Amino acid sequence: MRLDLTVDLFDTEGALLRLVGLVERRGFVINAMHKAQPAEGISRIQLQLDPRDSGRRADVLTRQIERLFDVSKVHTPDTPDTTYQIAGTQTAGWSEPCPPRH
Amino acid sequence: MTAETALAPPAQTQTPTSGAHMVVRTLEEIGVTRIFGYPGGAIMPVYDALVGSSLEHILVRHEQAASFAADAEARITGKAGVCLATSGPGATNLMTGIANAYLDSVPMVILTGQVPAALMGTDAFQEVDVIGMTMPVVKHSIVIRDPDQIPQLLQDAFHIAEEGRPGPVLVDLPKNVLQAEASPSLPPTRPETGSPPVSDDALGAAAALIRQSRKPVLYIGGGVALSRSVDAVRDFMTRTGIPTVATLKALGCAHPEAPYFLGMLGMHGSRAANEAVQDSDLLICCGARFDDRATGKLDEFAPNARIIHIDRDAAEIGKLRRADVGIAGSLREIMGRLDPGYVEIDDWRQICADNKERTAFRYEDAPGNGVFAPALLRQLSEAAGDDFIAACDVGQHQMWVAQHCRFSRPEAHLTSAGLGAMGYGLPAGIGAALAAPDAQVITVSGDGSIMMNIQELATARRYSIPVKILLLDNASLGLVRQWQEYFFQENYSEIDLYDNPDFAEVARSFGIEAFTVHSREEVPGAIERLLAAKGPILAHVLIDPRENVWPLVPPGKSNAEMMEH
Repeated sequence: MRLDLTVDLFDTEGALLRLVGLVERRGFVINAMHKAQPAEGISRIQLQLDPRDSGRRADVLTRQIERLFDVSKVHTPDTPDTTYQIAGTQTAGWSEPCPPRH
Repeated sequence: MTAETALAPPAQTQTPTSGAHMVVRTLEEIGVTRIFGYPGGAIMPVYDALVGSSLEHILVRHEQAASFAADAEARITGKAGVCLATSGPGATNLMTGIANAYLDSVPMVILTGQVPAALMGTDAFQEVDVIGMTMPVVKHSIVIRDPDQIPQLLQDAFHIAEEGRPGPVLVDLPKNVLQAEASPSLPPTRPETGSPPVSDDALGAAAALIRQSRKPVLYIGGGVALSRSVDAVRDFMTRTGIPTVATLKALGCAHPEAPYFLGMLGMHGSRAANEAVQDSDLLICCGARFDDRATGKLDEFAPNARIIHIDRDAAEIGKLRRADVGIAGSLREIMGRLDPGYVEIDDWRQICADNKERTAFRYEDAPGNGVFAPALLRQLSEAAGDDFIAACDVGQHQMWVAQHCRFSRPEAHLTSAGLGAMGYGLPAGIGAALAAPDAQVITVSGDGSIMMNIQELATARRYSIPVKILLLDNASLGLVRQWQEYFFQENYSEIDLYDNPDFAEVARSFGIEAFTVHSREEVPGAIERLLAAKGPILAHVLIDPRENVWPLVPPGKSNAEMMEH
């Protein structure tokens, strides 16, 4: 099942490579990618992804991306902000992301 | 913005100094006391600045050992271990240790020299893209391009390495930055650490599942140790009496004499642990990640169990097994607040206890007069008592240690669990002995593993580090041989190490006391001599090459299909 994901990255050295590497390593094929700059210091990356096999889950990938320190925010069609559900239990980021200083 | 706090005392700000001196000064201010490293071209300015500093530098003989030793120190202290190497080959030699720390979630800060920024990307001498190479195996990585940012970025590196789910953070230091004048104007700040709030609803849902279950099992992993939540977990075990199993990394989290602790689960786990998990109707997974060595064939793992998954890292929840209730947050807080009340499972407890008794390891049945490694390890850990710390290498001996040694705390068991890196044992023993000078630190190695970092005998000798080495020598790559015996139709391929050196002689040539044990009756004296030694010592123990590790779940099979000899 195709997944559309938008990720806001802080403009730090290696951030884009880190994101792309994670997505591929975690079992998703990048079909399309677009980069924009909605604000100074922020890159917005739009990704169109296909899982390599049926065991790859979008919610797990989203949380794996969210824990990258270069990531400001992950937008998905189902979860417009960084709040997500874990099996009926709501969990959310516990602090506003702090931009890296490098 | 996340709230931040200034470090006290503030950085010594106004005196211009070199970037390299700023690196050393900042490490001192952060509270680092020891670094494991090896010098070389691009990192020479830092080595120049180390002279006269308060940092103790341990000169290893291979950079891989620096990363393994820093890893072990971190597992003991809970604080980030620090290793240091030059660019190019120095950095690549650190890689295995970085991956080891990543897969076992160990806090570590890795400092690498780099060619001057103007030469980066030109294939300069000893240039590799260490940031790119290590990206899949670090929690984060940073290139410092502005010398004035050194204090803040180093502070960030330690914060990231230690907060939340720990991991390795690499800091790449271009030589021109180290040589430039640095004059930071602001003291470094450290973000305040927080945990996600734990909802009462989630705890209530978990408690309800526990009350409904008739065959619950608590499945604990390395996260319990990493988050220093051992007390909370032991208290939960006592309050509920729920039978408990542990992963390789969680050995020592449950009290070894706890009545319903069933031992390690998984490929070489105990029959009692695996059977309890397979029969369970509820699995409370705490700080574990359904690793394939623990679960066997995932589709058939605990097939009738509902899942409560508790982890500090939300990304682990539901990664491999869907959770009926997932709770991300502080394990200490969650286990402390999770209160199902009285759990009516007396019959289930009795079944588990009977299984544990019926399937307990027997040591008196070993035939012949040769050394029986499981019995030796049991006796050694009991003789060493609560001071015992085992630093394992990888192979059959690693599994025997997990099965037969007694661990009263998780820091007592240092093992390369996720990566399974041969060569970990000796440098890890060195790191542990420095971090816990009053402990009985024993590296348990094999004749294959010891050769991967045997040069570190020189480090043990140089600093008189009292690491005791128990070398179990079966003249082969035993675990590979065992798999070839059972899963490759006895088609033995490249496992024979008949031409090993005389390891006792090798140790003596490094200036280390050593002796060889040939037979079972020599074992009590050998244990006594090992534990009594004040400095480094090596016991070279000859064991039967045909000895195997039992029980065993064949690779790719369900944990219900355990093989016994």
